[in-house]
Amino acid sequence: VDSGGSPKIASEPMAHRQLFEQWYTRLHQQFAGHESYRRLLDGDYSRTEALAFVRNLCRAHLRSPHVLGFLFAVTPPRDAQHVQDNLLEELGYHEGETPHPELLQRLAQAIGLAELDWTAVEKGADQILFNKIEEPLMFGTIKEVGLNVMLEVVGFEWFLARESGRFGQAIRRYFGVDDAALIWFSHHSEVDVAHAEQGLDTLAAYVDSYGLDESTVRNIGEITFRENIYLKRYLDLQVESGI
Amino acid sequence: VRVTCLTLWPLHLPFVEQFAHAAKTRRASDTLIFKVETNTGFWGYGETLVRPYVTGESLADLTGWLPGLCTALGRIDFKPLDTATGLRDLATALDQLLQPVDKARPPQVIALGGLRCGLELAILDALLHEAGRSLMELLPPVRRELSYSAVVSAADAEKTLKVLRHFKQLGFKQFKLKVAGQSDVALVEQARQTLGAAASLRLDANCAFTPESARVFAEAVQHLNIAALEQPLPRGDVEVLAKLQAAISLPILHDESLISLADGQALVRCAPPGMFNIRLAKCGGLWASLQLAQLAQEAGWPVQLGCLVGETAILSAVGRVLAAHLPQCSFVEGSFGTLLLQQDISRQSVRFGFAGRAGLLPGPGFGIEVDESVVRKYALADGVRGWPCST
Repeated sequence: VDSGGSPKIASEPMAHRQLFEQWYTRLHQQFAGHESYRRLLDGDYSRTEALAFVRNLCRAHLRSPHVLGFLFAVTPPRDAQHVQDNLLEELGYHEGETPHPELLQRLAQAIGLAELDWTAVEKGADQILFNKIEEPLMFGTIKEVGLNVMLEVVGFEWFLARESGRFGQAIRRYFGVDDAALIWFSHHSEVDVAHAEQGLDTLAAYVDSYGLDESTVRNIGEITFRENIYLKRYLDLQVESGI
Repeated sequence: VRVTCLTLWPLHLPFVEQFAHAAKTRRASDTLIFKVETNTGFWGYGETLVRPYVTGESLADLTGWLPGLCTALGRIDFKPLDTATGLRDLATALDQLLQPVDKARPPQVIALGGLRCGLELAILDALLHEAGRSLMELLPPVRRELSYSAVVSAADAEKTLKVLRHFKQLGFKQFKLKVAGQSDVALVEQARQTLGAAASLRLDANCAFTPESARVFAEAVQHLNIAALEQPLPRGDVEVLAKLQAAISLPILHDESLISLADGQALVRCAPPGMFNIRLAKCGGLWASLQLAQLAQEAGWPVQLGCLVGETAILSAVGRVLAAHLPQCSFVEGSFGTLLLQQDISRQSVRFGFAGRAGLLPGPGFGIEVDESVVRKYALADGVRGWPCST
C-alpha cells in the first residue's frame, strides 16, 4: 500500500487480467474515497452541484453506442461477443429494451430538461466524440488505439457495476425521481458484476489475440489512466491517479 | 489600417498534470492573450508569456506599459500586408512604438520580448486576416511535417523513467530531460537505457550548474550520446560560457543566455559553436526570432524552436509555421495542446500526434480559429484589461 492508501501497482510481469483489475480497483478506491463523492452521497451537494453531476454523467455516457461501435469494429471477431452484446443492449435492440441514451434522456426529463440544459449535454457529448476523431492519433496502430478505448470502456463497466446503485440513490434523494427515471442505473448496477467480469475477459482476449506485449499493455494503461477518469468525467475533477 | 482597441486576457488555464524544472513548478498556464481590433472591422489574436526570471518582464510591467502604448498604437497607420516586406514593416513600426518603453525599462528587465511578442502577433494576425493571407505565405515551409520532441518534466527517477517509456510508446524519437546536478548522472544513464541507443536525447539544466559542476557533469554523461546540454549556467558573462563550451564536448544549447539579437551576436562572436534555443515569447516574437535564426544560419549553428511551458494554440501555431520555415531547425518543442492543458483555445486541435508528428496549418492568419469563449472562461476575472487606441 502506498502513502496515498491505495494498493501499489506491481511493476513485475503479471497476467493482464490481474493488472487490469488492479488498475480499476485503484481508480475506484480513489473515486469512492474522494471528499467530493462523499459529499454527494451524504446529501451535502447543492442543487446546482447535483445537477452538474447528472449533466456530467449523461454527457459521459450519451454516445456510448458510438464508442462501442468503434470497439466492435476493432475487436478480433472471435473475441467480440461481449462488445456486440453491449452494443446491442445500448441500442435497445432486443424486444422490450430501451436504448440507453433514451434512458438517460428519461432521467433528464424527470429532473427537468430545461433545468438540466439537455441541449448542452448533447452538444458536450458530441464534442467528446468529435475531439477523439479530430485530434491526431497518439498511438501508432489502430490495435493500440482500440486497447486505449477498451481499457476505458471496460473500466466504466467495472466501475458502474460497483457504484451506479449508489449514484441512482443519490439522484433520487436530490431530485425525488421515481424508479422509472433511474432504470439506466439499475442496468449498470451491482447485479451487473458478472457482466463487468466478462469485460475483463474480453480485454485479456483482445491483448492476447493482437499479441500485445506486457510493456505495451502497461504503457498504454498508464497513459490511459494517467488521471482518474471517473473523477474527471463524473465530478469534473482533474486528479492524477498514480497509476 | 489602424488599431482601435486592445484587450489583454491573463489566463489561468490548469494543466492536466504539473510541469517542473530546476527553476519552477507549474500547475497551470499563465499565458497572456492579446486581441487587437481594427478600424476596418478585423481583429487578431496574439499570445505571450512573461517570465521575470527569463526576460525580467512581469504582468504588472505589461499592464503598466500598455495604456500609454495603446495611445501611440492607435496613431500608427499599418500598411496592408505585403508578402515580401510585411513582417519587416510591422517590426519597424513596433520598434518605434516600443522605443520609449525600452529606453525607460527598469534594470531588471533584460528585454521587452514578452510584450513585443504579444503585440506583434495580435497585429500580424489582424493584418493577415485583413489581407486574406496565411502566415505560411510570408514564411514558406521547407518541410511539410514536423517531429516534436518529448519534453519530460522534472520528477523523481521512477516517474521520469515511466514518462520516458510512455513517450517512447507514443513513437517519439527525440527527448529532452530536465537535470539539476551531479546526482542526475544515474538518471541520464537509466534514461539512455530506457530509450535505446538510437533515440536523440538532450538535457536541460535550466541554469542549475556552476561552470565547474557543469564541466564535471558534462564529462560524466558524454559517453551517453547526448545531443545537447541546454543552459547549464545562469545567464551572465558570455566569456564564462565560451570557456565552458571549449572545455566540454557536448554542444551547449543557449536559452536564457539568448534573449536578444545582441545576445546572439555576442555568443556567435565569443563562444565555440553551440546551438540557439529560439522561443517566440522569450525572443520578442516572430521577426526577432527570424533575425536570430538568420544569425545562427550564417554562423552554422543549429537551432531549436522551443516553447515556454503553458503556450496555447496561438504560439503553437506560429511556432509550427516558423519551425517549418527554418532550414536549420534541428529540434522543435511545443504543441502539447490538451496533453498538457485542460483545454486549448482554438477550435481545431494543434497538438502533435504519434511520434510527435504534426502537419502544417495552412488556413488564414495563423491557421487556427481562436475560440474566444474559452479564452474568457479561463481569464483571471480581475486581470482582464481593455484599452481604446486613440486615432
